[in-house]
Amino acid sequence: MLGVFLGGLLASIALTIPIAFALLLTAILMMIASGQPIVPQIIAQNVVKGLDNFPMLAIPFFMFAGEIMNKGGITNRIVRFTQSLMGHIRGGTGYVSVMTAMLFAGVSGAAVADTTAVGSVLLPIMERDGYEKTDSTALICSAGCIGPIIPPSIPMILYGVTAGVSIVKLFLGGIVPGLMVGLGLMVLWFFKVRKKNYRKFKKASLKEVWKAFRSAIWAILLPVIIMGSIIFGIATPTEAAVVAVIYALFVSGVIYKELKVSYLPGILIDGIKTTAGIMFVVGTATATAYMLTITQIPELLSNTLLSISNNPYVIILMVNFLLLIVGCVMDATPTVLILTPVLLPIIESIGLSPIHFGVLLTINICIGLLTPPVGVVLYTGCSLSKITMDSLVKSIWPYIIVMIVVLLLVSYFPGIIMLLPNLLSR
Amino acid sequence: MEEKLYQSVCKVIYWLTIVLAYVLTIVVSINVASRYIFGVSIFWSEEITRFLFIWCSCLGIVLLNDKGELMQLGLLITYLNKRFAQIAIQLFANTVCLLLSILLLVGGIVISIESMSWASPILGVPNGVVYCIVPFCCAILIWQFIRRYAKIFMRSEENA
Repeated sequence: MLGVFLGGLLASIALTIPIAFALLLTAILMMIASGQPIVPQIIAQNVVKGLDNFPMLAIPFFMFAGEIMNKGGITNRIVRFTQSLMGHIRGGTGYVSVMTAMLFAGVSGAAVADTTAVGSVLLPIMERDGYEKTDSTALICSAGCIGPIIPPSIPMILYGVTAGVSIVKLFLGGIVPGLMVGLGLMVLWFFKVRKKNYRKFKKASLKEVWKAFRSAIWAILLPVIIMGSIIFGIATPTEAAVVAVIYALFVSGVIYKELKVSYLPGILIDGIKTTAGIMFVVGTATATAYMLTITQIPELLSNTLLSISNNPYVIILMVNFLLLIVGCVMDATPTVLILTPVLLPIIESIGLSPIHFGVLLTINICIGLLTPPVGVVLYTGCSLSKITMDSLVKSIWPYIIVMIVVLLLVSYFPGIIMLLPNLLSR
Repeated sequence: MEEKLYQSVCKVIYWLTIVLAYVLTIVVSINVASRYIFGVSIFWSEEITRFLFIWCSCLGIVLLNDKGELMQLGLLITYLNKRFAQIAIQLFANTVCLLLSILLLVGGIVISIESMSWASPILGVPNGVVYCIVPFCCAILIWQFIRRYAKIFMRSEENA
């Protein structure tokens, strides 16, 4: 049965069948192999059950907020503020990219949105200032991947719903690793640019920093409002996402006056389309998960893996390795939805917290977004800076190593992830 | 004629999705504001939000499929040099999607009819009315997959 599941899924994905349909086909193949009748209404019922998922409502709202930020001049102001702080350092625009990506990560929750927002503003500036195109694109792509690690995070919402664990705790668990990745990228950038003679900005005076801060304060407050309202129990993640939309609309439309009403249909349709793509996979993955449960595949895999070793350190290493390999060939949403029900029993059997695992899974997914052949952030970077995939892949591997180092650190020192959930969440 | 009809249907779906997304955003926003300002939740908000979310998701799937933007891996097609093999794979994938859409259409019709007698607890809307978006969207997906056969053959002729 395991062969039917893996073979059916991989073969249908390889044959360019859209992933949602590939999952549905796999469920049907498993029904046939287990001798069950194919009942259309059971399949449709499972798909509808997957679609009828209230916590997932946070996804379109975080998408809307990210799009509004981008089109309403909020991203530009964050860039100007971080530039006033770090633009005068050698390679300063690189640090500005990472800091902007981390601030943007506090609103959007998706790596592609983060990369597009930061890259569309900063890549032309970096090119103008003589930065190597491939290197600056590699940095911005890696910084964009902090998006889903620092809350809010769409993969964490998906995992939280699939695994039945607290999304708030997952969000809290992602903060420290996200900051570590950002810091790691900046350290790497420091070593990369110390011998380069890139153009620097004039050091901003305190008055200029204050001016940039005042102009960006409304934008900087947005991640604070989102996380503050979630941490202090004022709002659920879905409500916080709605507050983010209202706030971003108010700031972009009323305060900055850059968001036009004519932008709204486009923002709504983009957000709904992205959400629909995710929800279709959620729906059909529910049908596959139903068959996985019936055929007891998670238990089978768990026993197989535990027969190789029952040492938690070895299991974590094997799971991370598996996730990195899968991340190379699969996008974030299907990875979470397919592997969560399969891997969670293994993780629980070795006594690892599902919150800890959820954050590890998210970091692995983010690394996967940077690895060929299926790294969507790589494609985003290539289309933003008009460079070839080959050249970007050559430049990106040091950044991937930084992320793997952070992954290993947080894998073997669970306290790094669990610190905030244990401290702040009731 | 068929092209004109298809484009009109797509336009209607596009604007319907936008209107529903507006309503969804407004309802959830008013509920959140009402809860924190007046300390009262709008009792029908969660139910209508769930319904709107299902409708928006289903209509969004149709819009995505119209542009061929459903999540998929195009690796095999990219790396395959032989045109015949490329067309064969595209035809196979399209046929599988078509058959699965038909299966979902049948299943969707059955669950919509079966759940017409269950009404939602607050609004009293029959669940079948909410779920009927599934067969409706599956029917449009089927239409899109049938149209795609023509596109695959036309592309292969252009490349020849």
